[in-house]
Amino acid sequence: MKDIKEILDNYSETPSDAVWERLNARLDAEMPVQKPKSSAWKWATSALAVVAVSGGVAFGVWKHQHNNQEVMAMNTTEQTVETPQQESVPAVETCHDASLQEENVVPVVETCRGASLQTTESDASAKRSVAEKPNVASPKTETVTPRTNVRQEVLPPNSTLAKQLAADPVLRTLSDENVEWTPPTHLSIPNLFTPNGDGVNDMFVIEGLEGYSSPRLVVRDKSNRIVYQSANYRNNWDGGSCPEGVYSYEFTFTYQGIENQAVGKVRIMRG
Amino acid sequence: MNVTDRESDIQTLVNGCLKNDRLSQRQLYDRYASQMFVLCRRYANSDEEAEDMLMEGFMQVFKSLRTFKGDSSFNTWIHSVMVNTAISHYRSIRKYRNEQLPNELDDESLLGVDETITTALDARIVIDALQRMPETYRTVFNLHALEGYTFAKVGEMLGKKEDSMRVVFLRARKWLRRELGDENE
Repeated sequence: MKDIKEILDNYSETPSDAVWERLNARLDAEMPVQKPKSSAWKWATSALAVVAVSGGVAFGVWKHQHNNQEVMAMNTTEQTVETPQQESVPAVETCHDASLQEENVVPVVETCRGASLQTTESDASAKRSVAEKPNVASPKTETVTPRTNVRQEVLPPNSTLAKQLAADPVLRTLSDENVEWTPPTHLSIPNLFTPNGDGVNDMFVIEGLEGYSSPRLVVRDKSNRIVYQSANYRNNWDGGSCPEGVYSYEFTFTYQGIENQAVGKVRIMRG
Repeated sequence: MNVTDRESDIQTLVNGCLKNDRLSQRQLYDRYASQMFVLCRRYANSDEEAEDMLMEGFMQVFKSLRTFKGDSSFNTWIHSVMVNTAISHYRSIRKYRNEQLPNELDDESLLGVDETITTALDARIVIDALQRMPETYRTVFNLHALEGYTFAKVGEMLGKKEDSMRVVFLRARKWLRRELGDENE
């Protein structure tokens, strides 16, 4: 029997080409290769996004030159990405709200509040010119996060949070006097995320959320139907089965027993 | 090319296959297909069945490549994947093929037979004979005589008792000798 083993071990025979062809077909079916086409498409999308951002920046710079110089004082960030955001915060109210939020949520209080007051007048005109733009102000605009390259829409909350904060005697007192009230963390809410499974910005991530208790999130579509809600949000919403589009969110969070709310809009893009 | 070169070469191909790179998969296939095809033919009823087995085996190779840790040589690993594929195949066909094993052989006469076959053999003749062999004979003969597994291990693989594997093997060998016209029969 040894001979048989030796004979067979030293023998080889080429199978027909059809075997590889069938194997190849099965590989395509069961282990498909990422098509270069789709990555090209992603590139195109990114390029569009870049164009959009640069357009926003250009617009922001233009407006910056024609409007108030004081806005610069509001936020000292040097990031160009932030420019459109700062500049496009149009509403007197909104800007004011933002400053209120910063007083209460973010430790950078003094300069921002001053800035918002100074810019009130010129911002009013800005509001008229870009009223249709759905801009919002972030409670703290000094944080630049990689995922928010396209952050012109960012804006949490306008009035609801601001009014609550303004109406809250405890918080107002604390922040006005700048006493030992240090918010645990900044809170940054994106205006856009891209749940496409590429591992980048796939989730609706509210930075700083872990510094607050009872983080509740409710997301609604344009028809005001709830598409997502969580009583203890953990930055784990990937958009579910929601189609691309703009959604509104209400984010409720509690600090030292006081409940606050941020509302705003977020866009889902599935590139 | 020395052994080290060849191994690092294969490791490169394996790495490519792990990234699902079709060209690497093709190259790995080209490298082993002929050798593995002979293995499949030994276990199969026909060349068509051997080709099915080969394709199935390579799918398993590509799908489970992550489990290859480099503890053994790649040659050993791919060999065992193919043998497992052949065993699965045997199990699946055994369910619906009512196999008739020849029973005219006298077990006593199998003992003490010379281990060598004196007839000059051509590999193709041996493979053809194996393909005509009853499934169970063929599988057990392959696993024990050609793959080198112990009867205990063969029994474990096929879900049968070790002793019955020994008997089946002896019958299979006798069957093969006769088929090959060996004069020691």
